[in-house]
Amino acid sequence: MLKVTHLVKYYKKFLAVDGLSFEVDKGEIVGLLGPNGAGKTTILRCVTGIVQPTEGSIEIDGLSLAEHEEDVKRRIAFVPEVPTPYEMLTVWEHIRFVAMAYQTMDRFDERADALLRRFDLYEKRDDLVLSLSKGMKQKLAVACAFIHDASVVLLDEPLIGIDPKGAYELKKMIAEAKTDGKAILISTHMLDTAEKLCDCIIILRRGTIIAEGSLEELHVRAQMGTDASLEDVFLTLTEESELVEAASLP
Amino acid sequence: MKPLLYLELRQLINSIKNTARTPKRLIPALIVGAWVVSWFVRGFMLCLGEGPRVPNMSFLGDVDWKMIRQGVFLFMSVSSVLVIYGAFSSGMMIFSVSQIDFLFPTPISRRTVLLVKLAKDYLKYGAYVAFFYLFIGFPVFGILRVSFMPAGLCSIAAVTALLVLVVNVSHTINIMFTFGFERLKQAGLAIKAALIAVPASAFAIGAYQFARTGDSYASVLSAANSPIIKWVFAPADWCATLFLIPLNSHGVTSDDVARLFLLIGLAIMSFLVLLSRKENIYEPSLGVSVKFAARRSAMRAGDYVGVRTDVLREKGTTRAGWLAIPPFGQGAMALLWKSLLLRYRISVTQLLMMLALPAFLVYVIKSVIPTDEPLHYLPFLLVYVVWILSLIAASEMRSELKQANIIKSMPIAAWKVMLVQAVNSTVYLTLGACLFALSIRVLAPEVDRDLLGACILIAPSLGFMNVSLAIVTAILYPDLRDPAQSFLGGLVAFMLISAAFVPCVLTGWAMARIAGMSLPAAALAASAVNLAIGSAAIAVAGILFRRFDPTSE
Repeated sequence: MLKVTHLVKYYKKFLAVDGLSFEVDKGEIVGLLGPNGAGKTTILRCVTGIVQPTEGSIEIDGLSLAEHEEDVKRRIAFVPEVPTPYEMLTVWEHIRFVAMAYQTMDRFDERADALLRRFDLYEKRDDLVLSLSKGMKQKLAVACAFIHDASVVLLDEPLIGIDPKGAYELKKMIAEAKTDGKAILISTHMLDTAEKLCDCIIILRRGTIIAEGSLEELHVRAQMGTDASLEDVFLTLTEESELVEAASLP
Repeated sequence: MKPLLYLELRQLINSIKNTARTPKRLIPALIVGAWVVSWFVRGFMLCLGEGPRVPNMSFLGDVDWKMIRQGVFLFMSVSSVLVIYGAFSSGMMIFSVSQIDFLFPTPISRRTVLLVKLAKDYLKYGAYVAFFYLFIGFPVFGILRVSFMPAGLCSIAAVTALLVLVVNVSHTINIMFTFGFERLKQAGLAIKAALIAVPASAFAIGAYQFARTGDSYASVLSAANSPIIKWVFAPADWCATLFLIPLNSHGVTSDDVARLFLLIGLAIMSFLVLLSRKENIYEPSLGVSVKFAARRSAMRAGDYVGVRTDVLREKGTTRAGWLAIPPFGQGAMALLWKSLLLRYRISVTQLLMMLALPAFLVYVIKSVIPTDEPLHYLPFLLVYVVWILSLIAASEMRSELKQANIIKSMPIAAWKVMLVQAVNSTVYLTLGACLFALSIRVLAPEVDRDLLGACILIAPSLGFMNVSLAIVTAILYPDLRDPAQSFLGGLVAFMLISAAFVPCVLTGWAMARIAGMSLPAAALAASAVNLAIGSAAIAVAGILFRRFDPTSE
């Protein structure tokens, strides 16, 4: 389970995330939505330990990231936005390196084979990553994320550039991960995907949460009928937030 | 540690395999390898006493070592200041985007990642220093009959230690000030002020001495001997002494050994301090790594426009700036307008420098060199500048090839696209040549008018021919990310423009000497030859461009 409490992140003077708290329970999929610059990637980078929170705490399975960084990282699977894998490794070597880094070499060949076949990368296993297309690199990043048994899965715009079969397989894997009791946090601009996949949606604007809850709860929050799409809800809530902010300015 | 060693080793092996995979990569790599080995053997043989020698070494006694030493010290001090000062705003710990995406989130400890990163960086710095000595140090030591051992080794160790020390200090400062931005604000301002004040105090002492005595030599010496700069930049002071050991006659003294050990001790201490930092070292590297990755990619690809665009973006440029070139023409002419406008817009600073530099150069030559004789060679210098600058066109063409998908879909013949590219570069080269000629005419009127006229007449056609040939090589070697291919591409371009210069010289010489034509008339005849060769190159470039597949690169 992932627990983020009062997360604040400053990049020098710039406030990227402002006192944000949320939880992702086991078997739950939470979607982070928000316009560009809302702080989605910063949140994921804080959770993965790539950047250091200015304030607040991050816990996974009750372990604090600040105190048990390596143990916490071992429990996380991460798919970065527009991944750039090591170009001078082969597909197989890349996935092997990630498995070694997470110290999860048990039945590696079998698991790696299955993942590569699932994402149509098996034929490319001995090719250098530099020969892969953007979509294939994205699929490799997903395969690398699922090579170890994480309890929290973080996906930053995972569906961008993936072909329909790859997208289908990824969605299926996310659903399987949910069934397996993993906590899943997805940052995405694809509202229809978020609508179908997520149990809970967090809408961000300028580093703060402007709304959160299930789709039904968001409908209520936005004062819209249940037939309204997530896109309508999202646009209504973000515009409302902009108006509130404009009104509060002197 | 094991996964990181696996990563580095596999990448190295795959790079070698990848180079050996195709003749297009292997042949240039072998040529470059053979060239490096030949340089190494040559330098080594010189150090062993083989090869040419300076017969009389007495001139070394006349060399003003004191001034050279102080110059080296000032250079090292100012470079250290610049590197450390920069660490307050942007870091130098550069990771690849792959490391950010796939290494940082792993449970490998940050200290291990940092250790491997630093080990790689130190190896890189050692290689830079070794290459400097290999290509410059060894031949100089050999020719001057200077023994490499142990003075040369001492020199190499000192330079490497100073480099490591400065880099470690800048990394540590960057990490501390990234996380303590507000808390350490005052301390940061104080350190920055001190970093500026120390060289400024030395400069003030030098300026005072010059105002008092008018002796520029003594002023530079007193500036470098200022106690504050000597004390604050003591490591640079020691390094400057050690750097020049191979060239002085004293050999390695016990003081030198002590200095070297102090430098190495400081470098090790700075390494331990850096390694002991508890902050998240990944964070300061994020922005700079992504920025650097984009620029390095453009630089490796020989994409001059990409690099300039990146610099402008970093400066926060959002406006087009003054003096736009108004739109003209249709079809190929519209393409020419676009190329001229972009060329102007991305290099406005260089163009402004082009206005001032020729005049400055002529002025310097005239005032520094006491005799008039070198002035008569200025027109040849003009031709040489045009000749060598035309090689830049290859880089511009590579940038243009990035847009090949768009340009190839336009209803413009391939040869016209190439012609536009050549004309674009030639226009700017000709403009520069005219300004150079004007500077010569005004500042050095004693230069032969006929010769100057001939040179300025020949400059545009020479530029056009060379640019066209450079464009051909750019299409043959469109992607310079492979260093061996990059070297070969440059070599081929240089050989082509060198070979193409021969008919021009022969024609000019024949017309002037055999046919008895005036120099300007002979230049016009030679220009016709240049234009013919240039046009042929454009035709070839057109064919190559038509076959060029942007998706294959």
